[in-house]
Amino acid sequence: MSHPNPIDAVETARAVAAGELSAEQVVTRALNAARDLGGRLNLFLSLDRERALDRARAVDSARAAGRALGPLAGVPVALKANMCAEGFESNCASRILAGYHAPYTATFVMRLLDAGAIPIGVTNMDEFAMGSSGENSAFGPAKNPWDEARTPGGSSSGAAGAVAAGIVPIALGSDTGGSVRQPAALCGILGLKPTYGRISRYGLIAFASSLDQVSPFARSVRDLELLLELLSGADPLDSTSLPLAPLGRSGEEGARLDGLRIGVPAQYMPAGLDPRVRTAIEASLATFESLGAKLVEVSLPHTDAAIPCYYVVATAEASSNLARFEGVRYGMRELGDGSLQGMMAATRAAGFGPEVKRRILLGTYVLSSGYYAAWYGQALKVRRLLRRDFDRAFEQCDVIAGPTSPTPAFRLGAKTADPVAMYLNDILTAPASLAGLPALSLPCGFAEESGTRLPLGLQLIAPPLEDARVLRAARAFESATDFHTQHPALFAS
Amino acid sequence: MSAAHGHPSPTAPTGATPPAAHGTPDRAVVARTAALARLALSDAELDAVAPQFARILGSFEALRGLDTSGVEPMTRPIELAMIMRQDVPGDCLDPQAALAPAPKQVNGFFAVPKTLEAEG
Amino acid sequence: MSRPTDDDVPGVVSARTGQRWIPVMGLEVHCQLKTKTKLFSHAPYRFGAEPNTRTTPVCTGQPGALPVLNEAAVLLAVRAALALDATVATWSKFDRKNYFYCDLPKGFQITQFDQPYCSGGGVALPSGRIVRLTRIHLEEDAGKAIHDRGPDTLVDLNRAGVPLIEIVSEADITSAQEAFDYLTRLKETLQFAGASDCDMEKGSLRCDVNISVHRPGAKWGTKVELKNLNSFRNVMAAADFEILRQIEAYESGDSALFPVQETRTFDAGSGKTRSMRSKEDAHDYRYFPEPDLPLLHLSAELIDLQRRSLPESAPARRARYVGALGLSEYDAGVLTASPALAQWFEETADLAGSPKDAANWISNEVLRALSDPQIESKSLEDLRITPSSLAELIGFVRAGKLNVPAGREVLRAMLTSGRHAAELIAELGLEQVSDEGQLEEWCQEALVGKDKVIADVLAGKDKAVGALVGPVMKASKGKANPQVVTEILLRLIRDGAPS
Repeated sequence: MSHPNPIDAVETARAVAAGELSAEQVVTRALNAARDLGGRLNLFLSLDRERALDRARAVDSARAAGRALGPLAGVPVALKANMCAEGFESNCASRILAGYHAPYTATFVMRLLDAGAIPIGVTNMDEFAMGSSGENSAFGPAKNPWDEARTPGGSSSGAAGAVAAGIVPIALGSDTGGSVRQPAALCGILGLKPTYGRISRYGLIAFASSLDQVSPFARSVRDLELLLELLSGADPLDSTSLPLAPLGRSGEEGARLDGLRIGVPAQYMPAGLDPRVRTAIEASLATFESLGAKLVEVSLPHTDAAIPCYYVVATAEASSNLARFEGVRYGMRELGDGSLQGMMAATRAAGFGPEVKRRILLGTYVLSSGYYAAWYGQALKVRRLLRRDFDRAFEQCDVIAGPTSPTPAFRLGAKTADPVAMYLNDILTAPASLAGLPALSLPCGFAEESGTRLPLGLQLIAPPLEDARVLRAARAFESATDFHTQHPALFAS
Repeated sequence: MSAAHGHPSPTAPTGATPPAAHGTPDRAVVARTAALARLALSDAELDAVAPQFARILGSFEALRGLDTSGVEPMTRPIELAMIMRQDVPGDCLDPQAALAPAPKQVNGFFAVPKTLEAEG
Repeated sequence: MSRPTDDDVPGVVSARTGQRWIPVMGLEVHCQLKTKTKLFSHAPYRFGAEPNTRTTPVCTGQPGALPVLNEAAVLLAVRAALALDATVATWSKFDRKNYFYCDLPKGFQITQFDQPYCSGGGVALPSGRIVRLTRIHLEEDAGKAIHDRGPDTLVDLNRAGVPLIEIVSEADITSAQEAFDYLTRLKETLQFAGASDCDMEKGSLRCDVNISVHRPGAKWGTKVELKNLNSFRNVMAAADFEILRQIEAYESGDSALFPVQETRTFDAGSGKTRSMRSKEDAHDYRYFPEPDLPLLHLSAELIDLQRRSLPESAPARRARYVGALGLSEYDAGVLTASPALAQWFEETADLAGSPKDAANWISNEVLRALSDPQIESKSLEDLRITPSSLAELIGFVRAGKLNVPAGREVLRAMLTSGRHAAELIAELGLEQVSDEGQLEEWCQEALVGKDKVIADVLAGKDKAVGALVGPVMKASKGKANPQVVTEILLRLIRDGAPS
């Protein structure tokens, strides 16, 4: 019925390699859009114009000289502000790291560069990736290109917005409990959280180490597949990176899904689910059936415990990961009472925003003496139960499907006063994070709200290492639908 | 790490849970936690945070109610064997690059307010 | 193996009350492993390097950097464990110990909490008693905070991330002398296993003492932790002081003065311990499993391989030196003061073909030279002689080409110049004179007017001739072979040749 997005990364690289477009043209256009439209939507925290143009010209001269080009040669890409790369300010949208330039480059950025991709800037995010709306950025929230009054989701808000607004065809975010899948859903694009360990975390500023995964955004499945291929593989600098396992092909366009068993957990379609979301998901499931897949009812009985389990595990790890921001070696410093410990406490109090402080407190509390067993210890056990839920479900099905987010994009400010309500946004994405599973969100429909069309996302989850399986199902779905080709009115190209 | 005299094996912190863990952490607990986390919270901030803190933990009841006896804790999503590195020296950071992001440096050192206290 | 009962322990008798008290001590020793690079990063550590020149993104705690374990550190830790008769765990785990200090770049230390790589083991004291070990774990060192240079505290992260093992003993130590003996034997074991240099001056060995006292059979007293003990002598002095301080406190009868659980620091100047400021949130380190590192698996094969390649221990060497090489207990002890010295000795002995001569020359001459202010070299490593050059010299002496005093002179020249014995012997004209004609001439001269000596010899007192050997040696400028001179003198007297 339709084709991959004609302006995806694969097509851009082809056009550059064929000489139909110069890399300099492509990158200039992206930089200008990032400045103008990106500025309007507060998507980027900084741009690296000169270096990006130098790299683009280098691609053009390489082509002119007849040298082989990488698979992403000339393709502009946006990074998230928690990614370390020489030349970029990696401030995690936090005052405490304002002005921080890492003295090294992340493995995944090196791999992008090796493929010829051109990073143009770093994007806005919830401070230290803690949030589901982008509103915890110290530099103001990013806005959703479909409706500027609404959130693009979070925490990878700017990266999702930049892809949705057509500024770049691809971007990297990081997904800890849904920080790529949820904004992908709310912005009408694709986002893939790979199996934990598939992409090296070296150079990703940690929020929660046992959950964080570098995760790409794109507007086509083939772009996601290419990015995953390029970025994945063991990294001698990350002890938790998986030894390279061949990804396997996700299948060709128009391929059917005969025999694929799609599990639908009752817990992901609760009675109170937004009816517009329910309708879109039910229609998507019907599409899968029409492609030959078989629907199976499965159960993930511990889903209710996923949010508390996630918030205990993630905040515990975060309280330790963020201990290094104390004003000694980098970032800001407040002197406080003038003592060393006073300086550290004052720096952290002034440098972190309210949500980050809340989570550091929570994480410190659940690890502290007397509370460890009841909270952190219990959460680790419940994490095992959540994983077992998936293991049992995958005995009956090949892929699990459901909504990515319980609602379409909500208005900026709607939930900022209530952390508990905000945390519930992660209910559908946190389980796969805790279990380390590959999970993907792809556009599956729209909800009408006050005259605006708001995108909706379908989440597909597969067993560990079966990243190719979600890509294959997504590819078939993409071939049968046209949601991914629809753009917001605010669109750059 | 200090071994307890006469009880020299450190054990996992699974000690008895004080009553506070089952009730609502009060303002004093939040203040102590903030001190442990090196967050200088003002009285006003503490007043605001303490009830939020209690509400968040209260909303986590689903976690505490589950029977997990006999369940192995899961620390990592995927258990891998430790990869190890050969003992081969590599490039060091240029000291200027290492010190450049520091709020204060003196003669090649990171400089912090004078302290005589020991660790912790 | 178990702790001695209070009855087996001499204890300390209070001078004031005559009561006997039993000291109880457990030691925690941190020891740097002898690797080229740090535990979790490829930065090469060197003591005394310029500040912050030995760091990477990992050891400066740059956000986003991740630890990767150094295999050599693990192998050395395993060797240390095996040399201490400890059990190496098949699976162990790394944890984070969270606290804030300016020398701790990540805000946590990577260590091992409840599943260390090693448990059990022991250290045999010279008395034969064994001090049991609780556990050994692997961890990273912190950086260094310098407080006495200018208005700021200065932080050097070169040491941050250096591999350490922490060796925790049971509370089996009952006197300051035993603490000293324990440390001496522990250090020797780790050095001979090749695991560590154990150089306290360079901070590659550090020691904390947990100490309490109680009356025989009574409940143990409150434990006090002693820190900043930078030599074995200081450990002894601090323990001695603290034992008496605690006894005095209890004997005062005033519970307000009784020891409290605290950390005390030792001031070597005054010989006293004093309380360190306590911290309000002390010891809530919030240990939890390090999510950036998988579990550590050490296979039986790996452990076995390390066991089989473990170098010979110091006690085994001493026994061999005495039994197979015929050295004295004393020399065997001297020559096993360090693995480097033992190695040096064994090479020299092999090349010289005479362990006893090698032992004599090394313990009498070479070691003395190291403390001689006129000899520049202060350690075996920077000596200007090698086992082979010393063996060559010993060979000349054994072949009679050089007498012992001349040999000493040549050795001295070798030590200052680094040149070879053969060259120096010729240059200094020290080759022993064995030319009978020349020697006889000097002997004739020596006999002139020595009728008393002649008469004594003729009366059967051969020893009397000794008085004439000296003048002949003098006439020869030390080059005469004293044995040959003695023989000639006796012959001349008996032949009645004197005029």
